[in-house]
Amino acid sequence: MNRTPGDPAAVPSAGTGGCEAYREDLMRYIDGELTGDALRRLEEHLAECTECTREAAVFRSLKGELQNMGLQEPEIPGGSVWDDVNKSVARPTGWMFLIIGVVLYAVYAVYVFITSSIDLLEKLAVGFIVIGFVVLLVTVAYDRIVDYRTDPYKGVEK
Amino acid sequence: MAVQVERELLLRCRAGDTEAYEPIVRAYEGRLFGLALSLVRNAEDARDLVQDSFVRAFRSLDLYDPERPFVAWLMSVCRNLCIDFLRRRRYQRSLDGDEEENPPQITDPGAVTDQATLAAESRDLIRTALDRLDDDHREVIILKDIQELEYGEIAQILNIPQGTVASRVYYARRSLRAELERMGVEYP
Repeated sequence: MNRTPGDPAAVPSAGTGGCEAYREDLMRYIDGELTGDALRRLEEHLAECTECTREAAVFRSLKGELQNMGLQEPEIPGGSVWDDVNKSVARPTGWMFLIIGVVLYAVYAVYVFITSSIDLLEKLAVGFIVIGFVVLLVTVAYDRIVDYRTDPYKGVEK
Repeated sequence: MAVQVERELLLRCRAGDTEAYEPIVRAYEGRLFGLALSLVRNAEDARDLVQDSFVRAFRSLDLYDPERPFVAWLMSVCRNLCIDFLRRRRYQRSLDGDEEENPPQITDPGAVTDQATLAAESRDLIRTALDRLDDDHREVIILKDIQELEYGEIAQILNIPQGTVASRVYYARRSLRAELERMGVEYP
């Protein structure tokens, strides 16, 4: 049913039947969210329609029973989740500092290595070894990430 | 929690202050747990999902519109995680060839006729009846009648118009009533 709540043109006059047109407003009425003309029209309809009045009473009773079940804020097993949440949200900050430190140290190490007095040949040899190691590390890490992202069973528990 | 206090805390959270997040987590974790538990019906899974919801919400605070209620946005994050979880669980069960892990207990129709007995067993009856509803109907009953959210908030969480929420609430309540009547509960 696509009508604006409380739209007078879409609501049949009270007493002419057409209870379906009142269903959405009946729900807002039960939930205390119906106001103004729409409320007045529904109350007029309810005064003449025993079926809607009965339905409203049943739904109110159901609503009351659901609210009395204590399901809104049940006790959390193991207590508050804050400690676990805090660990997770604070961890990226730790990683950020660690990465910044490693990068700074690496830049300094390269500077010291380049400006040192050892032979050029030795510098080249060490440089190639380090570059080769880094390239291998990055490609292996990249492959693992691609495998993980395309794994159709990654969400399935073993 | 007062709206102004909540806004100030969220501003600090956006700036990366994790300590400002603690009062928010403690204020809303109970409601989120109630929602998650109602949807996934397992306390341990619900706890994990609540925890994950808060972590994801913190990391996505830039996406939150401060003009809207924060709790509704938070619940939409939690609800989406619960739906993803339920999809994965169903997929896993379909692979395993399993049906429902905890099938709803069938109550003998006609067993509940006495008014006093009905009052004593109404909680179990309603839980069973809720379990038997379609996901859409159960979800809207949980949000409206258990979490007591307003239609506007539910519309935001489910990403549907308010009129559709009211219509869905009507059919959900009617389905719940029909299930209860099938279980022997009589309404005047």
